[in-house]
Amino acid sequence: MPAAAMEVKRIAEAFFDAYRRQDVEGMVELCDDNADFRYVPAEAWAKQRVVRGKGKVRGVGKTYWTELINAFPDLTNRVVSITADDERNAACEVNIAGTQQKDFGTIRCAGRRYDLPHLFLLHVNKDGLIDDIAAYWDSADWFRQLGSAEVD
Amino acid sequence: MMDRSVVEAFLGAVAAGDSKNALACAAENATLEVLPLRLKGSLSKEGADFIERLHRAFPDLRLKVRRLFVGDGGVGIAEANLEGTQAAPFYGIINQEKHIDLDHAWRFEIAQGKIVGCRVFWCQNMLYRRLAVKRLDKVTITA
Repeated sequence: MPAAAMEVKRIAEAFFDAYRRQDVEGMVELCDDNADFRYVPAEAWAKQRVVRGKGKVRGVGKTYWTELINAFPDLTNRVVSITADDERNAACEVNIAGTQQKDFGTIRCAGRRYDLPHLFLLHVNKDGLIDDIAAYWDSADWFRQLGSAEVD
Repeated sequence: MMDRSVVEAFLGAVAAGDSKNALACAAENATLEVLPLRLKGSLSKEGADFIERLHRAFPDLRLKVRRLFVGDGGVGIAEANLEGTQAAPFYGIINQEKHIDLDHAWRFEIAQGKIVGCRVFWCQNMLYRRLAVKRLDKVTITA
């Protein structure tokens, strides 16, 4: 495996280790100051606009992770697979699980637990910092597990 | 065929609704999992049916690949967008002639120049919103 791909895998593992420790500052420190953040399913349709989970790691990302851990205090993850290439891309299949203790967005707290497959796509720059994070998951599955039947 | 080329050829065939050419990119026993549809099976059976249903429901379907890379272990990743206007039911979602614009991702496993497995990730709630479904327990009811 090319050295760049090995380094990217190591950084991806460190990122999910920090996430598992609920160390949001540690997650952010692994990212470039200007790193982009895109959680594709994170969208909320308001009356006049759509609010999306898109922005910067140090803004939207940090807030999202902090609020998620706040609502699911036992939040954890299990890395299923990580693959990387020599262009410094990584794809990580990760299961995220937690028990809801507070409302999260439109999901009212029913005290239920979820365990949900995610696909994270990371890009690591030549300084060894993550400069792009995207993630995909199925919010319908997530909502069902938490006892919410509303699409929004 | 190179790993990247086989993914490009497969997704090109899916975009065209050409399940025969899509399956030509895959090994005979290749598997498919479309997580949001809870669809799991063989690419040759469930996969061909998925492509057919997708195009029947969205006859003007456009599938654009936005990012594609192949990592170690023969794993290919594609970020793509599906666009189209519903014209028929789609896995229980009745037709209300709504337009979809759905970002999603494919994860392929490739061996000896053929796809041996693929998993599709999208958010079904995003799809439901675009197709005017309001509740997860009333997917087929609109009133």
